[in-house]
Amino acid sequence: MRNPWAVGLIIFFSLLFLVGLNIGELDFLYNLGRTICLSCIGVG
Amino acid sequence: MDLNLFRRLVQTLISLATNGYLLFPFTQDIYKGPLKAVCHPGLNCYACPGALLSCPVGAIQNFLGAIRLYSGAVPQVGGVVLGYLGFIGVMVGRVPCGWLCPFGFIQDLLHKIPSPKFSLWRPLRWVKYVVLVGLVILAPLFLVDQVGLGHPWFCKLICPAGTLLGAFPLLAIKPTLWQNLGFWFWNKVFWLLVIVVGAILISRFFCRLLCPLGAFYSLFNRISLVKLDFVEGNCVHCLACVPACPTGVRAYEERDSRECILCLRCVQACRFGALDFGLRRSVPAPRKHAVVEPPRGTSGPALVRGKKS
Repeated sequence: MRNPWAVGLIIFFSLLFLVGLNIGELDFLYNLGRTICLSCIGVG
Repeated sequence: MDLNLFRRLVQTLISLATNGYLLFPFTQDIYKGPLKAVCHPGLNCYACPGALLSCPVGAIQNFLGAIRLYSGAVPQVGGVVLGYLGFIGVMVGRVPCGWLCPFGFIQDLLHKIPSPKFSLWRPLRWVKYVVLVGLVILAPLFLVDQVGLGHPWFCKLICPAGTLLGAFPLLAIKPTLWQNLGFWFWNKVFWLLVIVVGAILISRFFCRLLCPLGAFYSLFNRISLVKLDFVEGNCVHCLACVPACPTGVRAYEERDSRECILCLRCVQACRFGALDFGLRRSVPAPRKHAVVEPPRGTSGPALVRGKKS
């Protein structure tokens, strides 16, 4: 194997992404993006 | 086409395309469509009225800050964002910093303003790792309010992209927000001024000193599938690559530097073909030593190089 660390981490991060997807994190992210982040603009 | 010009083109197109919600002056609101479920690979505030994508740093902090309030069996720790960023990092290292990050692009433009130029004191580059661990991971996890909700402390205290791309345009289209401005806003304006002046004087000041996203990507620079190749035999030590590097990397002596954003300006500056960009090739594994039976009449084992046992 040419780059075993990279291959291992690609598999790990792909699984992490899929687990997150499976437990509904995309909805959280979507709802987060739809609201104005008051902390970001220094108001909240 | 000139490589640096091509990179500028990519930076411009990505910055405009990912902040291309042009209806905000009419709707007086941010974009709320389905693309907000996707994170930008660079630092791009999702409070920016034109932003089409979410900010990965803000998202991670909000996931960690809300972890106590989640009632499901498996806590939502931001796996979609971590997995997405980690995948990019392993594939291409800090390429997003050099090519895709809108705030990196803004700093590149700021550094073109004529002024005395300085270099960053090298130990300061470790500060961004403290920001990543302290403000992006630990603070949202442990500094929580009465209901157990953690705040995105990096966004709240420092993030200049939020102030520049989020706060100022929003204040322009939503004048009611002016009534709520206080310490946190003016603190962020102060940091923005420091970072803008810093970026004029020091190349990629924020990326090198404070950016938690750059710190995260940099963790993969030594194993990523692509890398900056150095052909030692071609190097004549003319040092042309040194002033070309926006992050102060000495490409001829620092292999796989965590500071390298793979902008490839050094590749263009080198006239001798000593630097190139390509896939990481594995270093040949050292030959194994094998102990074999000694010939008759001699004592002790014989060490044979290059044979597998």
